[in-house]
Amino acid sequence: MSPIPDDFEQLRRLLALKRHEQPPPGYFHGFSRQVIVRIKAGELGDPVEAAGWSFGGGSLLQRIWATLDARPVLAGAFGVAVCGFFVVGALLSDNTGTAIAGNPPTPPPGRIAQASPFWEEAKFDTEAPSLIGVGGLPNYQPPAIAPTTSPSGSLFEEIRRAQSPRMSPQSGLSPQSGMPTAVSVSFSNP
Amino acid sequence: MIMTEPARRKPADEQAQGSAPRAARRDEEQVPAPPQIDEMELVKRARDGDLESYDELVKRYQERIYATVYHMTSNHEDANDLAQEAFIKAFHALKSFKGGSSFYTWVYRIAVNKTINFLKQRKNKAQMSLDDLDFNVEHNPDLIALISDKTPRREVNLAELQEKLNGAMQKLSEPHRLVVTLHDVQGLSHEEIAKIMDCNIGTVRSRLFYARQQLQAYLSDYLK
Repeated sequence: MSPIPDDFEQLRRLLALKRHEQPPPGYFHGFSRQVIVRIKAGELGDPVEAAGWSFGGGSLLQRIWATLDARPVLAGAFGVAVCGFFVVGALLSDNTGTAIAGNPPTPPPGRIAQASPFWEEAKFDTEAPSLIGVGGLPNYQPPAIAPTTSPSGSLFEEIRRAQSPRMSPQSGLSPQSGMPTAVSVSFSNP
Repeated sequence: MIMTEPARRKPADEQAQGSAPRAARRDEEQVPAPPQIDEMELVKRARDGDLESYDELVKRYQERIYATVYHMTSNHEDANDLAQEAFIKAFHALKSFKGGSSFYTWVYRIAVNKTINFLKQRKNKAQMSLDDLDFNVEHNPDLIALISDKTPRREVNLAELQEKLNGAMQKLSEPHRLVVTLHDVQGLSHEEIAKIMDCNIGTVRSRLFYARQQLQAYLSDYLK
């Protein structure tokens, strides 16, 4: 079937409407400048792109992706390796967790006798200037941490005990460094 | 597409390419054009890193490249991004440009390939953000004749018609839409389209015929 030349005349007139579709006024004034700016940005080294780590044309990641895409076997091996890595990581972390839970560290017996509840030692901290309160959040109230009876051998208590003799209760400053204690915690005393 | 200010200053170039929109030619003012630097000379300088020369090349073809991409996507933001990316890619690929075709055809091909790839990825999430119709459309005799017969509320129906038209265009496959855009909207010859699409003229003609048939069916309500 061969069309008569004028068959599409009306359609062509209608399509002419599209010639009147225009971008926003002044759009083309900045177009070439934007192109040049983007070219310059690319040339002068967007550090990521210059190093070839971006997904832009021909980058290292793109080439790796293309390689994996082209060779499904390689992609599968890569996937298996990643899964294996996670499985081994999970197993190792599980073993470590079991070891800690099964054999809690026992502190030297002498220290247990001297130990007192850590919230009593930490009381002076409530007097220390709070960096958070002084700054942009005047109404901020630090959350009250209810004391819990921790086992005498807890790691947290050990750390508190090791730090507390070096603290100056009056000033809230560390006597060794002379720096203010950055975090203040209020403990509600039951 | 109507030509805007920067392009009006380059009538010689438009005519040399043989693809200036008819409406633009009609509105052309007789302003003496500044002497044009040869396209190949600009390409050579740009290849050596002269960005001012490349800026000149971009200015020469930005409107036509933008228009083509826009008519393919029916989305201003996408057209903006794709047209810019096409020019950037062309700059980086200038070293591979042998001069077998004109720079214009070459950059057109880059833009078209980029757009088709983009459309394939976008496939199911097409969104139209149509460019506004310019003032001159009100005075286009063809369109007045086409629309005023049907309704006195021409302004309302002009927007509706634009939407229908673009909707119908979006229903075409990418190669068919491209042929209609380049030929019926932008006025390129079959030969130029064949070069841009890297196919023979017969293919261009058959695609154009099929695409027009499809459009006529989609827009039958407006073509009685």
